[in-house]
Order: sequence, then structure tokens, then C-alpha cells
Amino acid sequence: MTIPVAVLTGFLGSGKTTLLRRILADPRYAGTAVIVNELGAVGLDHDLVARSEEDLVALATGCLCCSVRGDLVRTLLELEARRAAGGVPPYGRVVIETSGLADPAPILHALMTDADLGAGHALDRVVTVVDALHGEATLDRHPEARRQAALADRIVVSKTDLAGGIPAELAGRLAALNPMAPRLAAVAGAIAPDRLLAAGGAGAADVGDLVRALARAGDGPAAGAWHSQGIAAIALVRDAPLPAVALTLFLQALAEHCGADLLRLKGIVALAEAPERPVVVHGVQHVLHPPEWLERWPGDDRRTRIVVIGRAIPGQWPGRLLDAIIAEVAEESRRRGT
Amino acid sequence: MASGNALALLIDDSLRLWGVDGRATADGAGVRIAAAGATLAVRAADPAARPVRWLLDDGAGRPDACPSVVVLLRLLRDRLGGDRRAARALRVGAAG
Repeated sequence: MTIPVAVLTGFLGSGKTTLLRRILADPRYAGTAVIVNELGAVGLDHDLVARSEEDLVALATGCLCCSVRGDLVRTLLELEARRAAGGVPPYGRVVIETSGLADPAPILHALMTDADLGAGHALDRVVTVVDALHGEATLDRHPEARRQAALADRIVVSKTDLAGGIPAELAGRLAALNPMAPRLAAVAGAIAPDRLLAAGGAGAADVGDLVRALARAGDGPAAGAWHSQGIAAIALVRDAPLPAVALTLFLQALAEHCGADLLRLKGIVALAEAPERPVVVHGVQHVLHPPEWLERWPGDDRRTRIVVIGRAIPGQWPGRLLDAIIAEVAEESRRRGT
Repeated sequence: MASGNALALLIDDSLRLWGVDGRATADGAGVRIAAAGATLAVRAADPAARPVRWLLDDGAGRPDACPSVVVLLRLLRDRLGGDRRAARALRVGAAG
């Protein structure tokens, strides 16, 4: 059995714990184990969340993203062992609530790449909570908050009852940071959990979000780019299916040249070798999920569509790189007569 | 294969991506790069020399042969000291 692991993040005071409490109150999510990370020696959040001590673990050793390799992996594996031994009630899902200052990327890397975890756990969605009242100012002042938004699969805007909805300026900022993540309004944490959490890996499940985001981007070789304080979301759309080797070289070059400034990548790709079955690519920085082949295209649009979210990446660079690689691969194929 | 103009635009963007102060301009079928106190030239290789596609010439010796634009960019970044971002190898996560 593979256990989905969701990451709940958001800046200090954004309302993560309130949202988590509402999720846990839903009977459909009763079998959820929670790992709460808190800064400082005295944890408070876990006291606010806890329903039963057996299925909640608090990491009060510091920022989760700084100690993730040791603490998080060990904690998840120990929890699994305790479950197997009957030491904790059965659970079918894990939610990790990060500290407000956490960079989610190292957490996601650990979940995506640790071989021991990979056997029994799968990364679910990244849910980022943004405060409707103070969110815009927080995004202005804190790069951690911008990264949390850029890495999200779902953005929950909290305290909308106090702000009279999602302020238009905040919605625009969030769309610029991450056009792929749906924005959901929450009032006192009230939101249907199934809108936040997926049944398993979020890559294929979120194809619809990606397609809709890219539909807004329009057409053309560099379909669109959104910018917000150095973070840009760059959309690529290509009509012709890509040779698999061109996609591989492109992804390798992105990782190599962008390094940690490549925040998120999602795409649905038509491969020349199997154009009837699109491939979903989905990654955090230089780490990709294993590609997922869909049985069929989700709609009539069979173009390759990729969104790259990164910091200080020139807007035309990914498209120019992809086109140069495609041209070389095509020439090499002609040369070899394949 | 990318034209000299397309390659110049790609390299010019790459300089900005790497944080290297400089410019790349099309020069016939190749590209002239003035950056980091150096002048480099990229020339398209003779098709008979395949798989070599690009030659990177710093004027100081034999040009480096590059089979692809991916290798060309890697060499250029190394030459120009564009190491502001630590290079990372692509990694594919464990299947869940």
C-alpha cells in the first residue's frame, strides 16, 4: 500500500493549523497521520491540532527544511514501523505541516528521492496557505512566502471572511507566481479536503489544472510568461510532438543551468515516439517525478505544453533552448536516416 | 541546427542566466561572444565533421568540438566562470 504524503505549508500566521484541524475533523480523513514541524523548543501548533497523540508527531528541532534528510525520513519510517507493529492506529495518509519559514523544496526532494520512503510513500499535493489580509505584504517582504506559493499544487487563501473574498491584487500576485495552482478561498479553514488532497501522486491528477492554466496562456512559441519579483512562470507550447531524446536533453539542461533557481516544472508532452499517449512531467527543482504516461489526451488539444517556474530565468531562454535542441535532434535523425 | 542568430539569442540569454556580464551577437553562421574579459567565437562545424556541430574558439589554441548545443553551453559556462548557480544533474525520483 502506498501512502500519500501531502505537504501543508504557508507563512507564519497564515492559517495552516486551522486548515489542518478542519481537514482532520472530516470523517473521510480520519486515517491521517500528521507530522507537525515547529520552530523553537516549545511546540504550540501540535497542541492545537492534536486529536490523539498516537497519530501525531511533532518535530520541534528546528526548521524542517534544514534537517529534512534526517528527521523527516526517519520520522516517516519510524511511524510506518509503529503502524506495522500495531503501535499506532492504522492510517492511510500523512500530512506534513511545515514551519512558517520553511522552504518546501528540500522536503519535496526527500519525499521524491529517498529510496526507503519511495517504496511505501508517494508525494501528494503541496498545499500552500496564504492570508487574504496580509498575504500581499508577506509576499512583498518574505522570499520564503514567494517560494511557498511558487511550489504549490493548491493555494488556499485563508481569512477571506475578513477580507471580503480574495483581494484582486493578491489573486494577481499569486497567479503571477504560480499560474498552475488553483486558488481556493477558505473561511475559518472551511474547505472541502478533497479539493486539496489527491488520492495519490498529484502529477497526472493535476493535468486538468495544467491544461486550464495553459489555455489562458494563448498560443505561440513562447506562449506566455508571468513575473513577480524575480520569479517568473514561463509557458512553452509546441505543436509538433517532441522526440523523447529532445525532451530528456531539455530537462537535463534546465537542471544543469538553472540549479536551485528552477523552482517547479509541469508539463504534458506529446512524444514523437508515442503521440497518442501524452507524458506528464512534473518536477521540483532538479528532481523529476518518474514520467507518467496517460492512456489518452485529456481533450482535443494535443500540443506539448510545459510551464517552468523559476527565479531570474530569462523569459525566452527555455523556449530558445528547447528549439535549438529540437533542431539538432531532427538534423541528427535525418543524418542517420531514422 | 540553430541558425547563428537563434544561437546568439540563446547564448545571450544564457549569459544573463549565469550572471555573466557580456554580450553574444550573430556573426554569419556563428556567434561572437564578448564576456568576462574574453572574446570567444562559436562557428558551425562542417557537416562532414558530424557528429561535431559547433566549434568553440578562444583564439588561443585548437577550438573545442561540441556535438550539441547542450555541450556548447556547458563549455561556455565553464569558460566564462558562470558558476553563480551550482550546476545540478537531473534526478528522477523514486516511483511511489
